[in-house]
Amino acid sequence: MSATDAGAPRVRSGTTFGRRSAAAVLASPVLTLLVLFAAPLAYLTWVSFSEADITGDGSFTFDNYAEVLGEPIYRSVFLDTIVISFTAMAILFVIAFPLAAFLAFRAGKWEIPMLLALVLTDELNPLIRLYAWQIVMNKEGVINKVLQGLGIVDEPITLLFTKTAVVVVLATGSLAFVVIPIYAALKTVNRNLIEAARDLGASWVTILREILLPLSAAGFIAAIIIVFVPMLSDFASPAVVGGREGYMIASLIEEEFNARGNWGVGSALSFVILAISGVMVWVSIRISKVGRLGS
Amino acid sequence: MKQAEAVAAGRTVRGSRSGSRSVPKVVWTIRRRELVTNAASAVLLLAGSLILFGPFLLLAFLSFNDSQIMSFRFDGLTLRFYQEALADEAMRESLRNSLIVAGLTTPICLVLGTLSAFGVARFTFRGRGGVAAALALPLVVPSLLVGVGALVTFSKVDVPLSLTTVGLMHIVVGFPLVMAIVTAALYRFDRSLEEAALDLGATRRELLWYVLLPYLVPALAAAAIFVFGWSFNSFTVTFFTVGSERMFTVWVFSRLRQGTNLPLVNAISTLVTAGTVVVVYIAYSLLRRSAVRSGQDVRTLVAGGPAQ
Amino acid sequence: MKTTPDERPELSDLPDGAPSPALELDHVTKRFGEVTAVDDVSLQVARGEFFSLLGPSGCGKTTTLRMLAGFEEPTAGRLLLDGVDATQVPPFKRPTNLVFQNYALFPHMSVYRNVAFGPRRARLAKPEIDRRVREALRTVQMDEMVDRMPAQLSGGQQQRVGLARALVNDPLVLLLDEPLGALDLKLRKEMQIELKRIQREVGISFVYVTHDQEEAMTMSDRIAVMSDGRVEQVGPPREIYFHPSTRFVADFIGTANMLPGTLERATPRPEVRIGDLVVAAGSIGARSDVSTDTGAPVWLMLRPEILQLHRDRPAGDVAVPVVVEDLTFQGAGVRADLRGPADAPIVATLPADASGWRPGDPGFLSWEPARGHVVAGSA
Repeated sequence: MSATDAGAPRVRSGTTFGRRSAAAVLASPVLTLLVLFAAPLAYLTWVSFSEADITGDGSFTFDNYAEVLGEPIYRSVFLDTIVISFTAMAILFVIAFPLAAFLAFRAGKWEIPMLLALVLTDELNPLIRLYAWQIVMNKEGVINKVLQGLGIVDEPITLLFTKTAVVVVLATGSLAFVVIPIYAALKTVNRNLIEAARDLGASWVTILREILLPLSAAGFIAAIIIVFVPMLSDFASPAVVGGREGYMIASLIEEEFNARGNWGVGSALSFVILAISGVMVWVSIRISKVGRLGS
Repeated sequence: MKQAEAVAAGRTVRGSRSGSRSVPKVVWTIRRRELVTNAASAVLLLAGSLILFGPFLLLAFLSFNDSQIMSFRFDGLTLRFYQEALADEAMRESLRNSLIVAGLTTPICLVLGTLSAFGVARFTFRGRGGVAAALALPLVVPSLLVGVGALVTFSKVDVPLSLTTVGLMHIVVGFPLVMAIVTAALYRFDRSLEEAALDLGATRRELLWYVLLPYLVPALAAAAIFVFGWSFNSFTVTFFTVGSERMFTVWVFSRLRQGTNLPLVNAISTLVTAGTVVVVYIAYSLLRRSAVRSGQDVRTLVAGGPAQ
Repeated sequence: MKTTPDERPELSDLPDGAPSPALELDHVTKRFGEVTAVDDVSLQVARGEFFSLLGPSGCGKTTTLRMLAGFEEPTAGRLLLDGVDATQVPPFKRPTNLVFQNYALFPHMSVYRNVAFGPRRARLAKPEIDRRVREALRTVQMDEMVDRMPAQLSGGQQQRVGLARALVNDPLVLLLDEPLGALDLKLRKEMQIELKRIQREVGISFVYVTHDQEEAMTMSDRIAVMSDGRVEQVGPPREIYFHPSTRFVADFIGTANMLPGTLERATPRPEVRIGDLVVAAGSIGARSDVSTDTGAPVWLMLRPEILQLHRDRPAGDVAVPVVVEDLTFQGAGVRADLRGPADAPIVATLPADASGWRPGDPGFLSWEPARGHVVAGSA
């Protein structure tokens, strides 16, 4: 006999509410989203189709996209970026999966300290990290000193300002973000499932392939989104350790905006990387679905 | 007796109706496996820590090393770089600004993020899936677009770039992060506790206040830590919206670009890193206590941040 | 001797003149899409009564309980609490309280605060709340643990706190959803006695859901046996045990030997034709929609404990030839699995000191005819 329940005649233990109250709760977040996120993106789209420069005005044109998609210089930078990020992602996945599995199942008392260590790497300032790696990798740096000391090389190798340097930095910086989603997905696996499989004679390889890999598919997708996409936005890493060889698309975009004031081209480039990100996410979802069906 | 002997010798026992599989010779005893696992953990932890944290330790070493050039020969302990760093007005201002922006945006993100989480997890309406996806977009879209989009838009509407513009952009990217963490916590919530509360006479508002929110405290604490950290360390978005103001991460970047007076950077970097370690440790201790008190697993909360 | 062919088992059999029932379900049905979980159920629970809903999983007992609590709304029918239609009343306004199977104690609150939750929501005065809480905890013998947190309590202790938390609100009816399901056997038996004692002490009506028939028989004043969303029979434990009115109830409660036959006559005392034999019985039970005319298909129900096993043909009317198949020592007695005429399996309980029987031995079964019971109906 309560008027407040008139809108929800089904008393479903208070978990769900109706449309009108939803609007009240979601009003401010959605408004924030529209004003500070959707609107800027919309305007950026407009800019990408205009001859705009730093003054912000210009007429409608496809020239920006034509240039960005046509000129070989842009293409080579895109290619370099893809090579670098794919290499980094590959290294990450190779390391991350066994590490996550180890953390989820075998770590015992080391589990929380290791987890904390991973989270810590995430909380440390990225620019400080880049700077530190710059010192480690330069001609008088630690790596060279060690290699020379062990007699592996006679002269210092050039590590800094190469593509390899960027790959190293990207891989070490994103480890936590790849390991933890996979770890979280693996943690949901019931221990009994694995024990049952072992009891029935399955080898670890089989268990990996049949049970663990499909279950961590969700973790892989998350990793792609969280790790690969930001690599396309990263101009700090190339700037600090990449130099000219390790030049990435984000550096180019930053240059277009700040140094050259060429907003039209810069925004067109930005949307190209958005498209690439979208494709990558879509592809990874497809792969994981196929993987799950196949197993 | 004969059967047992045969089994012990590893031979299959013919003619027994139960169990014709024999006992294989055991190499990997459980004890040996444990030792290997423990050794492997230790090695992993060591190697991993070296790779992940080694560079920072190097910075620390250099910051105390009394040498103008960055060499690895130890020339004596000194604190002068620290004195120089702390005297640097630009550095102090950038640090202060970053802390202020992080400190102000975190509570706003918590509020907006919690509202979003509830709106998406606890209400049913048409288009709910779409709204949920839309609210998660700032986390998925490349930060370059967010930064650059903000730059051109603020310019278009004649809003000068300042700490405020930075703060606003931190809010719009930060609150989806909170939403993700809080939504996950809401889904983990035991429904029978809700029914119990209702059964005992709580109205929906009382249920929210006395049962649901206390449950969310650990998740909110974890979210606060992650958002604060994200805001302080944010580079790309901050870079494009900071204008002439100084923020810490951007300050480090411009110092590196200029390449001047780097020992100063060593010192402040070590300080900030040390500070981060301390803060993370304190935050973890508080989080663990809060989680235990409300019966939750701290690992879920810790993994919940990056896993979103 | 009781013949009740016209009894409508859906309605309870409260004696006339009793005060109005604490709770009443009036033709309540609950459908979830295509599935009918509760099918036209009508029940009454008297004040101060310990009433059980007994049945296998999926029979609708939990759904019925949740409708009583207010967490599900009936698709059809009414629910009356203390004579008042409460079908639309939300759970926080009903004078009912629920004890959960998984305890559902608020993990961030101490024992005291958990129990005080209800009274606080009712805005009682502080001293009154304190008094009630301590009294409730004393009733369940948890008054020493006021400041403990749920995580520090054992399963049995948590259940007691859950009980106190519900009782402290002085509900009209207490609803219990298989509360002892998660406890081990010994603790369960102890708690059964405890619960019974507490119920007597506070005098509140209990509606208790369980699938354990022994539990229901031990604790209840009356039991409603449910199957497939319908109530098969309602009555006191003795009634259910000795005079089941459907085959399901006979099978579900204890062990029963059901011998199919046809009804020879119903009055003055029931007689069943099995093959060439005509056997007398002591009572007959039937649902209202089942025929009890001569020739109607029925079963003769013989509980194992009424059967006696003899080596030689005993004197008297009834002597069934059987062969012993298996003997199992069960502590209080010996379970004998026998094979009777037409290869029918029969279970008998022999005294614990019965000796000399071996599998393969032939024998004869006899029993006191008046202890046999006829259940009307066919497969």
